[in-house]
Amino acid sequence: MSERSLSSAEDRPIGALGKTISKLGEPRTLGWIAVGFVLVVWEALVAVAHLNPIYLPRPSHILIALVTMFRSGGLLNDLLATLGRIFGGFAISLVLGVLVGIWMATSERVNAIADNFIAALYPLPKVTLIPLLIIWLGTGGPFMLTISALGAIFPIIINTVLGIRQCDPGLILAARDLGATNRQIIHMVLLPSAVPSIFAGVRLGLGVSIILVVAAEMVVGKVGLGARLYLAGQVLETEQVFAVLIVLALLGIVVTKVQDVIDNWVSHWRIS
Amino acid sequence: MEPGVAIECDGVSLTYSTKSGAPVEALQRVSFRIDPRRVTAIIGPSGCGKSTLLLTIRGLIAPTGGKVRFVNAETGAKTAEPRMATVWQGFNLFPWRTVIDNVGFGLQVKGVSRQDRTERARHSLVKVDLAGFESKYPRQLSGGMRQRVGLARALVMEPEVLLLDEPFGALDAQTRLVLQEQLAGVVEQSGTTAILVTHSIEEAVLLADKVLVMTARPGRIAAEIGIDLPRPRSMATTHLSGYSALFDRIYGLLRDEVLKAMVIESETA
Repeated sequence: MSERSLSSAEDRPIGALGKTISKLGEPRTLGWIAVGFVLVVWEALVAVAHLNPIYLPRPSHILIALVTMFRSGGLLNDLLATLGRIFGGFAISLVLGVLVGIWMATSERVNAIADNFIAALYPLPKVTLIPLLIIWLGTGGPFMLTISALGAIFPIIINTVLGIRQCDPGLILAARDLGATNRQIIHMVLLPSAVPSIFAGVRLGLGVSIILVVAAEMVVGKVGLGARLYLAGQVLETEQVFAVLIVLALLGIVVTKVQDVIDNWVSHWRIS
Repeated sequence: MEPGVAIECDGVSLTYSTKSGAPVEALQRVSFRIDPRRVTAIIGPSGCGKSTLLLTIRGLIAPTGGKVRFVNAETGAKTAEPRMATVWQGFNLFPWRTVIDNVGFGLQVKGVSRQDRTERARHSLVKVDLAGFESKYPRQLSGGMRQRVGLARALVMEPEVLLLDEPFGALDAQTRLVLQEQLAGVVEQSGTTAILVTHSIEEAVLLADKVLVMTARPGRIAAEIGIDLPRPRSMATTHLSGYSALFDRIYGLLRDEVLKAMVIESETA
């Protein structure tokens, strides 16, 4: 919706410059032309100015490094390890977060108990917990899952509580009138009405999980994108550093787009 | 025909405390009887507690004093709570459910199979002229259509008592007229007891067999007025001399209460 209204606003030529640009095509096409332009200038600049590839390698060389790393360098394993840590921890925090959120939203006592802990932990930068968690859990799988779950759980809890609290009391009355039990009201009224809000928490949480897992891998990992990035930087393999950054950027794009699709699907009743 | 269940409110009082701790007396020793298979309208100034009274009858709010009793209309013996269903002023449809799933909600919580409830919900939608809108979402419907979904959702429960909480309050005047007629037809056909909370004198006189006029807060029953206008009623009924006499009488009772309610509102605002 917002994308459409945005593009239609940009379709309207604004002055002479706008007219020239709009002739180049649709805004979307223009976006890709800009990317291509930057890459070509980059490639040419490095070639002509003979820049040291340790500082700035050519895009074409980065691409070659990327393909090589996937073919024979085990980058796919790193990618899968990172994904497993992110989504494993995220799945834990989704289940726990929604459960705790429901509990907090439906019981004032539980809310009062949990509120102070959350107020203390939520604003704390979670990377600062990495040393403590290593002392407690070591550097293996449990540590990675915990750090990932810690990143996502607070936004999910907070948004679940918010979503349930914002549920129209009239809907709860209507459900009660139609004979629903408390349990049914949670399942059939409170949770569905909180889904858009929970999903907003999921978006925030998954972003933090990605940051934390990559950061943790950079500190202690032997496999994983973060570990690969850090090691490549240590030995001045700048092409590999760029290659891993590209994989991370693409991962971000894929995650965002998949979230958009799921969001549209679970919230279709709001838009239609 | 079975005698049916009468509802007796016996000295029902409700006092609740506001956030500041000051007690508010919403209902004060309210007593009346609702006869089975009749339409009883409850009318009163805004804030008089008439919707609260409806929720108390439905059992969704516990009174702080007095009792709501369900009795056999002939023998006066206590009976079990009758099947009841409510139609709400704000519709209160579940926005994430399609029309058919909204109507089937009450059956679903009772454990009725999907196939069964779809069939019964379809049937109920036909009664309110909404066949063909099964897979729409509430957001896609007009206010009048949404309220007909609300009515179908209540009717599918086959209620012995239909509670109507200002069902047309959120609708425009024309839609309201048409829906009033439709509701009168549905209630007459199904033979249910109906309790209609309204602030419209016209609506109360056109639809009800008995009108309970409430006072400003704390809500008490100011008068019980029987409506003996011939049925079926329509807009033509408003031209009868009996109609205007009843209208004037209720208006006379309400006018002072509405003025009092305005004073209360300006004091609490």
